[in-house]
Amino acid sequence: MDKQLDLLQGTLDMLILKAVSLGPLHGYGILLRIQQISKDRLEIQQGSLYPALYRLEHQGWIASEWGESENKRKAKYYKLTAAGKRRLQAETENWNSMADVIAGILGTKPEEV
Amino acid sequence: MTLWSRFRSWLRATLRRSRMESEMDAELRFHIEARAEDLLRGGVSRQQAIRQARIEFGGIERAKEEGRAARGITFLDEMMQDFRYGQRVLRKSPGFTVVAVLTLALGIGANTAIFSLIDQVALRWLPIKNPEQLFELKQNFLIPEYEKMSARTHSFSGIFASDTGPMIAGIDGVSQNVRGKFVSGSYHSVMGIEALLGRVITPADDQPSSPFVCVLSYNSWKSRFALSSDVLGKTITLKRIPFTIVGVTPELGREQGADLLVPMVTHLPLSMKDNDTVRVFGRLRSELSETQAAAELTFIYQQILTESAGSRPTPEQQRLILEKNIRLRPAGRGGLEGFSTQLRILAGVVGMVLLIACANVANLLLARGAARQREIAVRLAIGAGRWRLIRQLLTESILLAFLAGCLGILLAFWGSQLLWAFFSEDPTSLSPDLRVLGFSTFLSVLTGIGFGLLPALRATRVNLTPALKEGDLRLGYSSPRAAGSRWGLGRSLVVLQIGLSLTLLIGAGLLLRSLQNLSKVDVGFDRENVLDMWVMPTMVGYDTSQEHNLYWQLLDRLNALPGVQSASLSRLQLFSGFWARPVSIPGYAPGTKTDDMRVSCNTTAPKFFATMGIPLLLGRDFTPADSATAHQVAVISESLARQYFPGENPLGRHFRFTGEDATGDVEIVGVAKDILTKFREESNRSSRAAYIPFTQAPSTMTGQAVIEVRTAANPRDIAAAMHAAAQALDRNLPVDSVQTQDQIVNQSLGEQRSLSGITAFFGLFALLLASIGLYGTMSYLVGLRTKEIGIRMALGADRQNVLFMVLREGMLVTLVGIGTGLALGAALTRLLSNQLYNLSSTDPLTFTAVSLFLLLVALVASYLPARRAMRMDPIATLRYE
Repeated sequence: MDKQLDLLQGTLDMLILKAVSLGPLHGYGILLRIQQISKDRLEIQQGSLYPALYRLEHQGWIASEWGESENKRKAKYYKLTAAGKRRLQAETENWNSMADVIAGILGTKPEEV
Repeated sequence: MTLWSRFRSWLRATLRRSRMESEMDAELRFHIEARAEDLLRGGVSRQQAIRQARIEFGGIERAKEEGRAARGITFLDEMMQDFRYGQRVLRKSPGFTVVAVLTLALGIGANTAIFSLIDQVALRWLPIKNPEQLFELKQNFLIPEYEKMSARTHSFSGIFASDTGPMIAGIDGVSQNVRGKFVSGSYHSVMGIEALLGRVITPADDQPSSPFVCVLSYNSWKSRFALSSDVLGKTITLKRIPFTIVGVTPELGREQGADLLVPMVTHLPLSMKDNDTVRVFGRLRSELSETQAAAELTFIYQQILTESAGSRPTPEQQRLILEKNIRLRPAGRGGLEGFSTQLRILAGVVGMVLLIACANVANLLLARGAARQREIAVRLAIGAGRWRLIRQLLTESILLAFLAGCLGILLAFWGSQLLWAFFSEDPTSLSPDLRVLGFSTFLSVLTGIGFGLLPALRATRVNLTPALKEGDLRLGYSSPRAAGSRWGLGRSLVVLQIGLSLTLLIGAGLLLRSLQNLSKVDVGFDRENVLDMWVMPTMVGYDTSQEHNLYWQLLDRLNALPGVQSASLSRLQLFSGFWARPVSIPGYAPGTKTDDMRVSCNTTAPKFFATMGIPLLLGRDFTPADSATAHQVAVISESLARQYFPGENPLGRHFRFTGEDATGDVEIVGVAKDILTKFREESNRSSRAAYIPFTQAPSTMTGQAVIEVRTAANPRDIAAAMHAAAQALDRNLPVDSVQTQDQIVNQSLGEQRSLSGITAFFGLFALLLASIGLYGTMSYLVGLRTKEIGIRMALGADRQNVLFMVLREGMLVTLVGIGTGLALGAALTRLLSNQLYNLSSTDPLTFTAVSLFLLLVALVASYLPARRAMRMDPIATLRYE
């Protein structure tokens, strides 16, 4: 297993939005989905997942609904709302441009200054 | 959108709390079980899997707490906790709670009372549609002028005239005093008032040929007709003319209210003879500004005046017309006019009282905070956040303030009735409504934060280690380390209290001194042993000759009454105003432009000067021979004689009244000493007086008169006989307000008296609070220094030294407070200056006397703790430690 990375401050919300954008998921499913996409390179505190979910729901970016899990158990499913979709898009653009800028700065060689 | 969804989610979480909790439980349980199942598949034992899932998850309770916080309900939870805790804390120290609540209740109550008064007279809108469109045209209009105005102006979507005045209404054969109001036919439709019963007054009612109708207000329908619906079609008699009741309308408050409304067309026969002007109101068109409308109205008004001046107005007339203009005054709610200065002063006074009350309670809290330092240190040590603790302490203060607010509203309800009685004779129900309740709730919260914040900040700034260690915890209050300076917050608060109460006391002192000055003023007549009684024959339809007959008969009867030295009458009551009439004097041209040649005119019967005790310097009094048909005569005042006939004998000289009631030559037959017609004259106009016989009065000065009687003994004794004499002549004759002349003079001081009384009351209350504050602080400091004092005494300091040491401390705080108060007083009393009579707003005597008084009280307040310090037994204090 590769070395695990600590999650950057404030990125968990974005990852959750991305995870549920691919289809409704329950909390544990979100955790698995993020780990799966990141190929287990991200370390997520399980305890901090739920406050983040409640916060996103409180802000109206995701909506929840009780449903049935794969093994026939009652579970709460989260899905992206229209506002959440816009939010995810905005965050993605923001992140990408930020990443470009940072990469540009870090990639600067002495002779270029 | 998101704000709304956030609010919805918060509301859901708050209202369906238990459901949210169980769902959260279920969700977290599902997570751990699902994880455990995955681990189980990895080949560990069931027990092991669950254990590991739990460990991976981390603190479940913490996650839940964060989850609740994310939904925004922790704050509410904690508030409820704080509230319950605060309640327990306050119940555990009832002494503190009672003192704090009472102190604040008086502060909040006084402010609420003043607010409800200001709200009533100035802020509240009339209960009509779009009241903000309603304006009054500030000018005295004659009715024909109003009619032309209304036909020509385009500034208003509607315009009406009204005039209020007392009326005597015959209801079921009984005469009753009512507040009557004449309204033009457009009144109800422009105001947008609908009838509660029957119909309102319409333009068709306001025609010379229409039958006489009237409309009742709700209150008079209730009090005089018991809300009976049979009232429609009944008749009410006004000046012997029957009016049919056609409707009932809602109440409109102080400014626009009346008991009985009649069409304007009845103004001429019904109103008092001196009254021919009306007030005009209009609804401004929304597209016009006030200035635009005022310009148009002024133009039209001047046009109307020019037309009525005749074909050839003199240049003088033209100049006067061009000087007249029309100003618009918002009339949709009561104006502050006539109330403003006093209400503003009172608002300032009660604001200061609240500030002092806050300082006092803050001081109490500070001492309590010091006593609770151990508790607070423990809580901080086990991880409570400072902000969280401050919030809890603030909740306690707000709870206190809230209790005080509830009590304050009760006080205010009672107090505002009293206040209202000081300011106005109109009966108005001052019930605390939602606005007033809102105001005092807001004030309570503000107060709670105001007095609670500093002590809370101070209490939570604890140096943990010494505070937790055994020892003298209370040192935090006075030690330089915790207090930040030697001076300390507690002392500053006492300085503030002393300063503010000194300011209030200075204000009260100035007002009282000025009242004293006023009551010593020589009014120029003898106000003792004179009884006044108004008779209003015109209200029951007397014509002028009937009126004169009545007066002669009445005076004959009164002069014959035992105990009466002399009886007379005048159109105007002394000290109730004066009547200015322009005059011209042959051979005299006004030297300066400021002399408008107007003199104050009063009509009198023979013996007036003797009855009122005004010395006649030259010439003679009037006699019955000065009749309506005899040549016109006048008695003038000393000032008038000096100004217009300097160095000459004015007897036998002539002058003329000019203006609306112009006369021919009037011969001067006497000169009387000057009198004051009210305190604080703006000019010497009223001392330039001319008296004429009532038989020769112009019609505008007839219709009613005040009968004056000088008695040998107490004038009150003959009040009943005087009333009976009038009633014996005509049972229906309206007779009003039998009062002594002394009362009338004193009444004109009423506002001054109540203002200084209220200020003095609050000043003394403030002083009481300040001395409690000083006493508390000094006792507290003595308590802290017990050990030090014990050591000093053990080392040989004598008791006197200890006494002076503590006294010095108290006096230092007091002197700084007095210095602050004097500076503040000097700055603020300037605002009082137009309420003061013959007194500078920085009167040194008042400032010194009040400061000394306060110093004396402060000396007592710090002597008591100092004496306790002096009497300490050094052995006991040292052993105790």
